[in-house]
Amino acid sequence: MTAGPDARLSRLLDLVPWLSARPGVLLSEAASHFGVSEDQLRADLDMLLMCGLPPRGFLELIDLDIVPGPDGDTITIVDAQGLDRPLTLTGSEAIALQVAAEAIADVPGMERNDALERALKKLRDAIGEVEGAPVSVDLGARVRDPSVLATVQGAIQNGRRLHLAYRNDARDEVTERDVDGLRTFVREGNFYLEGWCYRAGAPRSFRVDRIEQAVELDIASDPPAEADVLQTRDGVFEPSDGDLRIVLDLVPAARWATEYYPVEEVIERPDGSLRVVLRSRDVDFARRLVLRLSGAATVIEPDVLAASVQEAASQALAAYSR
Amino acid sequence: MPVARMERLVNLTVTLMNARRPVTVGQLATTVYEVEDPQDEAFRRMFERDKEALREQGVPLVTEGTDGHDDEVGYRILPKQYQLPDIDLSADEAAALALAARLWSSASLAAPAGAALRKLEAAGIDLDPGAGVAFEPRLAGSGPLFDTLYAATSAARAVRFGYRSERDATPAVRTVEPWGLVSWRGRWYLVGHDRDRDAQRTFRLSRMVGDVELLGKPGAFKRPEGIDLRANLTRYDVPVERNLTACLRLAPGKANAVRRAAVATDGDEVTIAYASADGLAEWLVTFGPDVVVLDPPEVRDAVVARLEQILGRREPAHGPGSTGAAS
Repeated sequence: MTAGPDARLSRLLDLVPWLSARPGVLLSEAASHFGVSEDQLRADLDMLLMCGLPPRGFLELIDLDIVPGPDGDTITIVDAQGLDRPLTLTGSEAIALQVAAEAIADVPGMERNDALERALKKLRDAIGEVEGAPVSVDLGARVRDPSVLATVQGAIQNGRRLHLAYRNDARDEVTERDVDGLRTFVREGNFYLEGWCYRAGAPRSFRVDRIEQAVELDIASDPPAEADVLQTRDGVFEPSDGDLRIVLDLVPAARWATEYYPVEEVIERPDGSLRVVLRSRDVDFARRLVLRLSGAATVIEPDVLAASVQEAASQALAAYSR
Repeated sequence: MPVARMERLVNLTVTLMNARRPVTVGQLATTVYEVEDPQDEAFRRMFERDKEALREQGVPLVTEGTDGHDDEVGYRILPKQYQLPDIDLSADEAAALALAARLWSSASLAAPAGAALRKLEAAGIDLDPGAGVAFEPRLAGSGPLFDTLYAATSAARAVRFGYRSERDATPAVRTVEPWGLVSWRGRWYLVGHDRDRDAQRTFRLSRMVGDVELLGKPGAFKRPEGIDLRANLTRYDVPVERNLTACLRLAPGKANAVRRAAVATDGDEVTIAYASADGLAEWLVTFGPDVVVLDPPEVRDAVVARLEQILGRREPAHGPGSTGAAS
């Protein structure tokens, strides 16, 4: 593969039209938009002043004015020498925009705002439909109860606090809590709400299909500054040191489990069986997993999990022999 | 004195864009390159590299015949091909598009998506996704494997890789003509023509083992027209018809997810609709003693069989039930 387009050339070809569209823009603003220092931007501008049509007499050069103003130097393009429009999109650029827009327009809840559909149509009208794109994205987002999602997203947009009845399936309990929502997102086809949970006093993610009831409160959302720590990470479950270390042996037929549960380590055995290591906040989550695998998983560690599985299964079986 | 590279590339672009007729290499030598001998080898090599740099940038360089006596070719850039057409986006449309492009923020097409947005901004469009955005597009990254496969797909080059299928522990070597990459429910798949099996196949990227090898020359195959890349993945993604019912007894205050899914509730006795007895048993067994199946016998037997497997009194069955997440 090639190294890809030259970053400075990309910037220069974007810079002239960007400045042409914004006469008198602050030099500092331009530098920050292009993510370069003001010195680097001045060097770019100096170089552009040397460019133009051969034999490059002073009438055929790119011309721009740098004028001091109350907030700093401003830039105005006088003659762009035909570079006043940006380069058209490359194939991959058009694909990236269209595929993203199509994928997001398909997400439940987006139909409440048709701006993206309009943007997508204008984009297609201008640069043409991408035929046979080599990439397709379907977030596969589904919602059983659109009204819960609408309430949750509405509260975020209105900047209001939420009151939730939330079902935690690992612990098998329904609890009530106030949450300042920050955003919703889709992961592996499920909608999640991310926000500051006042019950936990910590940032939390909630699966929207496990929110049994959502009410927008007449209280302004006011999450503490530390609320937004989840933003950059990809996963919903972030292992921490306090978590239990679970070691299981899986028969070959149970390999699929490694793709659906947050396994930390997988050791392949010659016979096709696996030893996997995963983290769990409590025994409940791991017990449900082992019960579900129904004999295809053997608990190696910890003993407390093995005992919990045995107890649950014996008690359950006893109910049938009465 | 040779002209500095960046200055040269911008001059070359401006010159070819403003030319009324194709410009020959000889003319470029004396003007843009300021060299006297157009046959000079160093100059020729430099010109080839510059052309390549502009093409990588996406600059549409056109080669045409000239009006000259010999068959010398000339170069030009047609402004109509170069320039981004007018896209008149309103503020909310621009915001929506900028937000959608965030889909790639941690994933594979982040670089071209970013470049596309910068071009729209260069055209004078302000792309502020704005505050109070309730939905954040996200897509898990897929790493260098995606880049290699995307490049192979774009260039129509065959690929060879080790692949561990869902139930096979031993990876097998697969040779595939890649047609496209699909992200479905957060997982990446490669769709293409499997040469050994002579059929269309779908491969999960996370099951590929080792490096992907690119074979042969670009343009080695043509993707058939009208291919639906997602077809294989979404075929089974239809709502299951649950036209059977089971009657269960729940421990007081427990098995909340079962209560929620019930079609009828009478105190702690609930009725659940289901499609496959083993699929239902796979779920019910996770509640341990908190769920007891009263009826029908096929569900009760399936749960009892699983409990006996857990306690080691019976050999485990194979694979997940119909509610299993495996696809």
